[in-house]
Amino acid sequence: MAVFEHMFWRCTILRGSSDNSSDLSEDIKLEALELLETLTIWYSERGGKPPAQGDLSSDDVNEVFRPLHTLKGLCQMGGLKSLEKLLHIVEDRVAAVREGTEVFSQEIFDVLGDLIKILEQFFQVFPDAIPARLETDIQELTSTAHLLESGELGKSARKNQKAAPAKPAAAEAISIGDEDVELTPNETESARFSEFCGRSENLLAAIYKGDKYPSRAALQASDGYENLTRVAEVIYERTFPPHGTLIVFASDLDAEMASSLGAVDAFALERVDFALANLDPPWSLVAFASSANGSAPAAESSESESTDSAHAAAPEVGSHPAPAGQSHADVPYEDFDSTNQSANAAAMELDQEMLDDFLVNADELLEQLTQSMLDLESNPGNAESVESIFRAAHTIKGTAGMFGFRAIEKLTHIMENTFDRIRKGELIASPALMDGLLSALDRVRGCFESLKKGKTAELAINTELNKVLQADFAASHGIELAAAPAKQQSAVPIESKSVPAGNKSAPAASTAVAAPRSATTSSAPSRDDAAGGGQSDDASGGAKKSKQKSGAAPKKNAEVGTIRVDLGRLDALVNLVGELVIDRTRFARIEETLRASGQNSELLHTMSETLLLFGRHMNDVQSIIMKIRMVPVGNAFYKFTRVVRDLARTCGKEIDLVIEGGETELDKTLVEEIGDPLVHLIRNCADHGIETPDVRIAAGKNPRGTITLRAYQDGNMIVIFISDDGKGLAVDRIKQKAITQGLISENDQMSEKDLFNLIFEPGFSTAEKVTNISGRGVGMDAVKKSITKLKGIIELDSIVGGGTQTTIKLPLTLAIIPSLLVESHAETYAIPLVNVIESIRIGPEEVQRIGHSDFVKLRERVVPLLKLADVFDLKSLPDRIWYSVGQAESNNTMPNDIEGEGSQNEKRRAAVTTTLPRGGNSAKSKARSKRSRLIFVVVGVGEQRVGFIVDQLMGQQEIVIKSLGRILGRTRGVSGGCVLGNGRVALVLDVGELIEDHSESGKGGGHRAAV
Amino acid sequence: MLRSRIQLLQPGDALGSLPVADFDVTGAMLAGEGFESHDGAQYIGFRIHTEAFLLSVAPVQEIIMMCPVTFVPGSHFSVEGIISLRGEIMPILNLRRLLGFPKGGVTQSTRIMIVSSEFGGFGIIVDAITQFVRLKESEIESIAQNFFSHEYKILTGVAKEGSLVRGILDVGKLMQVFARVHDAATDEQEEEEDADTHTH
Repeated sequence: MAVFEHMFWRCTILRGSSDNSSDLSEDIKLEALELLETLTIWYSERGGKPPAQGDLSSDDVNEVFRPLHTLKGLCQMGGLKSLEKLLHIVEDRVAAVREGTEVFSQEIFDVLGDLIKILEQFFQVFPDAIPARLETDIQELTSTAHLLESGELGKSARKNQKAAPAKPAAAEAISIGDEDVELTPNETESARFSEFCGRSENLLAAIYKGDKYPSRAALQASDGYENLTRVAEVIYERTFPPHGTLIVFASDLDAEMASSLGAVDAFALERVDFALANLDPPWSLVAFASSANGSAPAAESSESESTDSAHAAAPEVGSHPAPAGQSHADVPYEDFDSTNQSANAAAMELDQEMLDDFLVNADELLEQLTQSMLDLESNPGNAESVESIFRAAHTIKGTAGMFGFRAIEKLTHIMENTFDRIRKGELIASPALMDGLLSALDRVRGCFESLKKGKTAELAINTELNKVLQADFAASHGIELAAAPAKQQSAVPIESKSVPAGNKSAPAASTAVAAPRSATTSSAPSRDDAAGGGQSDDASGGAKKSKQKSGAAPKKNAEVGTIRVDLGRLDALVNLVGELVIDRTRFARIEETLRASGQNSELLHTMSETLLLFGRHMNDVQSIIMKIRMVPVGNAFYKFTRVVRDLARTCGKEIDLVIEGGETELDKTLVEEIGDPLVHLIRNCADHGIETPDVRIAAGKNPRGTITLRAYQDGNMIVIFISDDGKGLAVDRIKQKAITQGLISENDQMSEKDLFNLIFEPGFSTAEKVTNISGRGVGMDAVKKSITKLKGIIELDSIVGGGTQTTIKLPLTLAIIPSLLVESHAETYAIPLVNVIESIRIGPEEVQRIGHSDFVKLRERVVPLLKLADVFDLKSLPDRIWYSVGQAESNNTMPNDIEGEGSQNEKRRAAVTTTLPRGGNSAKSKARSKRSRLIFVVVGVGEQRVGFIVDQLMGQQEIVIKSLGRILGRTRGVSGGCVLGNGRVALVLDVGELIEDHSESGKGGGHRAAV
Repeated sequence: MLRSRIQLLQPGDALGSLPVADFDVTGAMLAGEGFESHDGAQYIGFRIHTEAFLLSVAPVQEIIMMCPVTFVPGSHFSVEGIISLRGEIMPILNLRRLLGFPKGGVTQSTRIMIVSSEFGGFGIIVDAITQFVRLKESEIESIAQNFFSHEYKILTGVAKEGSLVRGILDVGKLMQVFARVHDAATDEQEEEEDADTHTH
């Protein structure tokens, strides 16, 4: 079933090329082309003949093998599954040659040549869309390589023509191409085939327009024939001989035909529709002549989803033309993509500024639309949300139309029509219908994304178009679609001939099934409406509240009036204000100095006054500028409603998402960045946390699980709190797993919180099976990394059976961070306040020593102490700083210099005394140390705490963090520098790294401080 | 605090138009009028310890007074530390250490030359700025690299103008010193960062 392999891979190619970040793709492309060059040289040096067995050195083969292998890796990285597969097969052959189990035959050599050619073509256009021809080539070569693998090529090489006459009549009649290959599927193919079965999830949209192509001859004469042939090649290429046809046309599926089709055809339908849905635009719409005499009954339109719905829906089209016609009267099926694509040849000149504006607007509208749609789904009777949907969809349609984005316009138009029917009460917003509409919405969003990347918005929309139409059709006829993936999967592996028998081909059966379903769909909402205080209302109450708030926010904005500002300009402004804040501090210092020197008092007085005013204004400017960058964190939250809904449907769980505090404001960059980690956490909640309804009922819980997403401000931090009422973290399992993975040892005494924190370790997962949602152990690690990148901290808490709570604390903004300035050896360091727990002064005798490490007991907690001077090796400072300006200045004896001699001496003395208690227990040092106190700052990341001993606390200051530049690179424990009021640079400590390094070396017995 | 900018040098600036006094740090040089009639590239002459060097003016952005330097733990041994140049953080190099000269301190004539490179701007501490010269190509001789001790691999050649022989410093080669160290020290980190970007 190489056909299906091909289809499957083809989709992955398409997907792979669109998903990758351009940087990665560029890298892959460059490297691949380089490797290909080596291969080409190697190939051409051989002059079209494989090296003779005698001449063959292992180096020679290695020269091919290595680049092939690397290429395979590259393809894997780029998600180019079909190429990866092809390379893998070829690599296998070459490996066999290398090992001497196989002769370097001409066939292998030829395949290599073809491979190089194809890859070259591929990577030259990569990562842009791959020409269709090339994909066929890849497919062909893969089958050739397969033959090579099974050793068949030598015997049956290119016997294509011979195979053709053997085809059964039915197959021949519909086969348009005459170059079919007939092959018996081998075992690997069968395996792949069944794997493929599980993946089919799209609907078939094949249309035959009888009036356009009355006969095969007419079809052959038409423009689209070339495409037709190509599709035909692919689809008919490798079919089971007895049946021959893989394409089933809904229009032909009258009762008689349906019963005459075997199980194979039913399979075929699914697979083919999957393939078609993923073909490029001209192909996806290709019409097929199907019947042997070439005069298939004309049908306006037809669509079908998976097997059963196809059979259920199709007969209805056939036997009840009236309702079918009616249902499509409003929205006649159109060959939209093909006409659109051809019409789109002339690219439109667009005003970039207007377009940008449109895109930003569209984002908001789409968000609003999604919200309202989800709202509508949970509360189908809500007229307000229908109106809101209608407005949003209409606006998008209108603007898209204005710009000439026909695909978007068309799709939204179709959606609008459906919404209109919902509004009029003709349709009920059932989950299945919403699935169709939401998938259409996704496509619209896809169009916008593509626009943003500067590409065309005219993506193929037929699949989605049909989904809406079909959902509409089904909803109006009360047919429940097998939309939930779980259901679909179970429906797929139907094997026996019982399919046609039980394929619900009798219209009566389908309507019979439909009736109770429509009853349930319509009764469920009405119950919701009537009850008003049912269980689901309780749970979604919070969500509704927050949604109302979110709805109110844009309205308010509209009233107040807003202006869109380029983010770059805003950033520049924020940076400048940061500089101004520093300047103000410097002015304040000058003023202090002047005051101390007792100069002209009147002038000084005026200056002080001005400075005071300046300071006040500066504060205002600063707070305003910070507010400008603030956006409601809800912008990142609301998309999760959709995520949770989809997840719940996939896992067969019932989950409510409660969003609170969506209006809490957070820096724009943070809101953008926080989305990804939150998705991971929410997925975890939905997949691992919340149990299935039956388990929940058994545990005595409400069958509907609740995930709460709450944001609130706590001082200068934003706290985001995610909790679920699921089964909680299994501490024992975590511990077991950690022990087996060697992260901890059996004897380690760890608190529950420490154990919970283990799940942030890379590769750590207690999931027994990896689902496609989560379980690989990458998620939490990624979450932790991104949160740390945002200078935030993340904590976990969990009660077995009671759920899991995750708390994320983030700074309000990244641009200006409040920090504690400390001094050690006259060097100033800034510690972000986020990490500062407290600063404490203790007597040296309270420090307890274990081995080479110091500890202090602080409120029932043992905190390890680190001397900042030791961590940064500040004792060597005099050797490292040769050009110390401070010395030069002190020679000048400036009495008013704050950085002058006196204060420095004091600091030095402080440094001396703090080192003394380490020295030992002599009575003398004890006596002296009574006067001196140790100052240390307790810093923490998560649950970890470390105390840094410093010489002096210099107070709080808001700092603008800056990179140290590329020459210095990254220094462990330092996240950057900041400019202080005196114009000097202070290093900003990266507390996370410092603690990490300390605890690592601490395990080895003693840290740097001990030396 | 005491830092004052002496002069912003742009490549192609006519040196003759510079205020002469600004360069009169050691009582030297600048040939005032008639200077421009010379052809050849312009160089700044400076002194480190007792040795005289030249550096092309093209990459030199400005020359500032010595100012307090912040120590960066774990940095390359020739990095003195960092300073803030109008809000931008600049690493400062101590060539005395790089070239193996004895320790020296700040004097009246100590300056920082701010130089731009492909890795961003950085400063070089010099004990004095001595002169500005134009050198013809014929006045520059490239010396086989292995002739120098390895610390001097940062030179691109020597100037034989007049009776003096002075080494010509090359920014690219200077950066290579760091690139090597940088590679070794941060390979691991970069990989980590790479991995980060991939996961995103």
